[in-house]
Formats: sequence, structure tokens, C-alpha cells
Amino acid sequence: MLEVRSVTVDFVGLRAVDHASFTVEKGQIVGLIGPNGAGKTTLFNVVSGLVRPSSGAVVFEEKDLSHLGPADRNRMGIGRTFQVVKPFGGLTALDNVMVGALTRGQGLAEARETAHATLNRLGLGRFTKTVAHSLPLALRKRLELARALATGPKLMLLDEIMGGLNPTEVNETLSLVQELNAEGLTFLVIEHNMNAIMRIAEKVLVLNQGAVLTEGPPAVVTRDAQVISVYLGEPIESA
Amino acid sequence: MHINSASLTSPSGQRIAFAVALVVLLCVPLVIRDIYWLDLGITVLIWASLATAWNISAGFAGGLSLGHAAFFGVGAYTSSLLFLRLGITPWIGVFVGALLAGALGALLGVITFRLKGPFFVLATLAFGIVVHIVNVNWRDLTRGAAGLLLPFRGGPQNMLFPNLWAYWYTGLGLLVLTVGVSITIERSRLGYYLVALREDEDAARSLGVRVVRSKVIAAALSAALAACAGAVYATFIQYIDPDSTTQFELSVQIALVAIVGGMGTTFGPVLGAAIVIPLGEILRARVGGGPALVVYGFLLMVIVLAAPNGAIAGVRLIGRRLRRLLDSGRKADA
Repeated sequence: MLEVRSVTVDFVGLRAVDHASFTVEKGQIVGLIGPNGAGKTTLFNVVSGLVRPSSGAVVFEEKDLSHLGPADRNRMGIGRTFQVVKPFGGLTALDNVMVGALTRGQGLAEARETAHATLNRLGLGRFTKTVAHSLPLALRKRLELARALATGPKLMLLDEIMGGLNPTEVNETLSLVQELNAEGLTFLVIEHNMNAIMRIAEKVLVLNQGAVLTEGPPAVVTRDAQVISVYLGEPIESA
Repeated sequence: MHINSASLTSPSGQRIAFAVALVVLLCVPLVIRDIYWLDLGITVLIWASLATAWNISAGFAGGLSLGHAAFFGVGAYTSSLLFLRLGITPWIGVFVGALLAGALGALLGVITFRLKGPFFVLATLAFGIVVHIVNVNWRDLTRGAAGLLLPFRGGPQNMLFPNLWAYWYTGLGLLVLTVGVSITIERSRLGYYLVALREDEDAARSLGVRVVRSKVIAAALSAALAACAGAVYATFIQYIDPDSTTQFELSVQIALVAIVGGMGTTFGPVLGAAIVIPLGEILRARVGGGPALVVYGFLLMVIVLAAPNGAIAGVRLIGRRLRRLLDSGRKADA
């Protein structure tokens, strides 16, 4: 469904992504892990179209996306959330989600219904009239997800939506992701919470210094000596 | 008995407030006979329309323009020149001017949509100055600093009236048009897109909002409506020159009126015109000269400090307090 072909991103004096290649199959939940600064978010920006790669290509459903901006890529079915949340702060939660529903061609009344339904599903039903910037962080993160879901995506990119959530909220989010996945939505998930990734991902990609270090089922990847040394840390000497 | 309290912010309350305001404005010429006040009132109507037009691109879409006098000038000059040179009535000229300004606004939008914050402001400022310089120097077309005098020919069919009340109703029609377009945009798909882009452009784009299309449409509508105000102004004053139409100070005044009233809201710019224009005029008449400008500047600073989100925010606050007071009174009765 998604194919990233040897993508390289050079910022001034820094190679953020270095010939990264991987694929995401339809219906999968794929985890993207790696130390801070490994280029995970930059890679998301390349896939969603906010950053143009210096070389390489992104192919979605057999179409090369190189010449499409973020708006057109969303309309093709790629939704995303942001690690640093970007709510439309001055708008109500409902209006935030309506923007997503409107771009898929729904009329105002229909978009309002979609927005209500999406907010209810994500447990934000009580906050429809709350102005977004007055919501606590955990709810703003969920609002990001609601807004992106309202666009009706086929592939969803989640950028650390578990960060700062308590264990109950993490569990709720995980079951929601699994539920949506069962309904046919494909996920690519950046996450530092290894426990969460282990539970939902069927494949994990490890990114280090912009390059894909290894990929495979989570249980295999977490035992990989290289991954342990660059990301998970040295195992504690057993007594 | 349950009393349905219609609030100022609820759609029904807004509709009632809107209808009451319209009836009051329609009655003004019947009540106010004094030429001075009626003249001032017409000026307020034109400025309210102009600030409302500015607000469509600056307030909704967030691109603070300091070049809108250019569009006002294009409207004033297009309709006046068509009338003087070709004998075409300003009733048609106003739409030609609006089309021309709209095209110019779209062009400026295409050039500047990528620019953010101060860079966008500087680009619009430069655009305004360029149009002013062209206006001053293209004497064959505009007669430069000498200006254009509209002869009193033909009367109403040429938007030239012997009575001030007719200008009042023309100005009121202009205001209803601009506010109508503004409300329509605010409640439409485009309104949602513009506000989303203003709040966070990357998030909006990632949700499928097309930046160029949305911003260019807003810029074109805003410019076209500003041009309509220019055409009405020209037939009202019957004399236009670069200083009164395309000068930089005028662009600043347009932004000022909208900001004082409350940018990004539908009725803020209208309220701003009702405060700023009479304030300036009364000070000029009563105090005069330099001191008037000092007091004017000082009072504007006080207003902006007292109501940083615009005077309309203060009015809404009073409305809410009043409603709470009424509600508690009702509870006490029951």
C-alpha cells in the first residue's frame, strides 16, 4: 500500500533521513521506533508531503506521490497526527473535526454529523463546544486523531499519540487503534512506548541516524543486538 | 411557564439583532435631518464596508494587509474613468472595478500566499505603494495629483444624487452586500478552510485543505468588495485624487478600523468604523489641527489596551452579563 523507496532528506549540514526504504502492506499496523533524532518525524513529513525528499520516492497505492502536496495526499487517503499537537486553537473541538470532514467533500450538515460521530467514538462527546486550546494535552492528542479520522483515510500515520498518557488512556488508545484496524485502516505508528508497540504492531522498523537499521516482528527486533545497543540500551547483567 | 431566552450569540438572537439594526439604519435619514451628521453617517457606512472587505482576507485568513487602499483606489478610479471617458454609469462601473480589483487581488494572492507574518505585511505594503506611485504618475489616465472631478450629470441613474439620504441608502446597500458576503463566507466551507489555515497551516494542509485556492479566493473577494466601496466613495465625494484613494495612510486606517472593532469577527469591523470614524471627525471639528491628532492617537491606544480583542468582544461581554442579570431576575420572580 505504501512504499518508501530510498528516501534521503538533507537539511543544511545534516542528513536527517539516509536512503530509507520500507513498505507497509494494506491492513498492517507497522511500528516505527528509534532514538531521538533518528529521523522518524522527518520521514512522516516526507510521506505526508510537508517535506520534499532530496532523493527517493514515496509510492502510495501504486501512484508516485512526488509531485503532490500534503492536501492532495490527504485526499488520496493519507491521514496523520503531529507529535507536537497542532489544534486549531481558537476553534471548538467540533469545528476542528469538521474541517477534516469538509475536505472529503461533505456538505456542512453532513460534516457536522461526521464530526459529532467521530468525537463521540473517541470519547470526546462532552467537549464538542470546548475551544481546542483549553483542552488538556491528552484530549488535544485525541482531537488530532479525531480530526485526521474525519478525513476518511486509508493509511493513518500516528506520531507518538501515547506520549504523556496514563496507563488507562494508553489502553483505551490501543484498543481504538486495533478496532479501527479491524475495520480496514492501515497504521504506521511512531512510538517510544515499547510495551504499546509490542502489543499492536505486526512489524517494527528501527530507524537509526536516518537509516533503517532492521525490520521484523516486534519480538525478534527487540532481541536484536544492534537495536539493543542503539535504542533499548544494554541489557542489565543478570546476577 | 418556560421563557425561551434568545441570546445575542445564538443564531435566533443574532437574526433578531440583525433585523433590529437594519430597521434602525433604514430609519436614520427620516430622523436625522442635519446634513453634517448624515454626511458623517454615510462616511461611516463606506468605512464599515471597506473594513469588512479587508477583514475577509486579513481577519478570516490571517494575512494582515497594509495595501488595501490600492483596491479601494482601483474601484474609485475604474468607475469614475468609465463614467468620465465613456459615459458608462457607475452602477455598471462599480462591477467592472470590482472585477478588475478582484483579478489584481487574486494575482497578489498567488504571489504572496507563501509569505508569513511580517513578510506578508511588507509585500502588501509594497504593492500598495506601487499602485499609489502608478496612480500619481500615470497622468494620461488618472490625471495624477490633479485628480478627477465627477460632474453632476444625469442624477440617480449615474449614482449621483441631489439628496444625502439617497447616498445613505446606497452606502447601506454597500454595507449589506459586504456584510452579507462576509457572513456567507464565515459559514461556508471556505470559511472553515480559511480559519483552519490561519490557526495552523501545516495541520490544515495535512487535513486536505488546499492553501493556494482558499487564500486566492479570499484575497479576490476581499479586493473586489473594497473596490465597490471605492466606487461608492467616488460618487459620494465627487472628487478623487491619489491622496484620498490610494495613499498608504488610508491602508493603515482600514486595518486600524477593523482591529479596533475586532478582526476575524463579522461585526467587529462595522463597530470599529462606528467608533473610529466619528471619533476622528469630531476631534478634527472640535479640537482641530495637531492636538486633535494627538488626542485621536491617545484614545485609540486606550481602546486597543482596554479591548485587545476588539470592541466587539467588550460588547459581547456586556451582552452576556446583561443576560445573566435578566436570567437571575426571572429566577427571583419564579
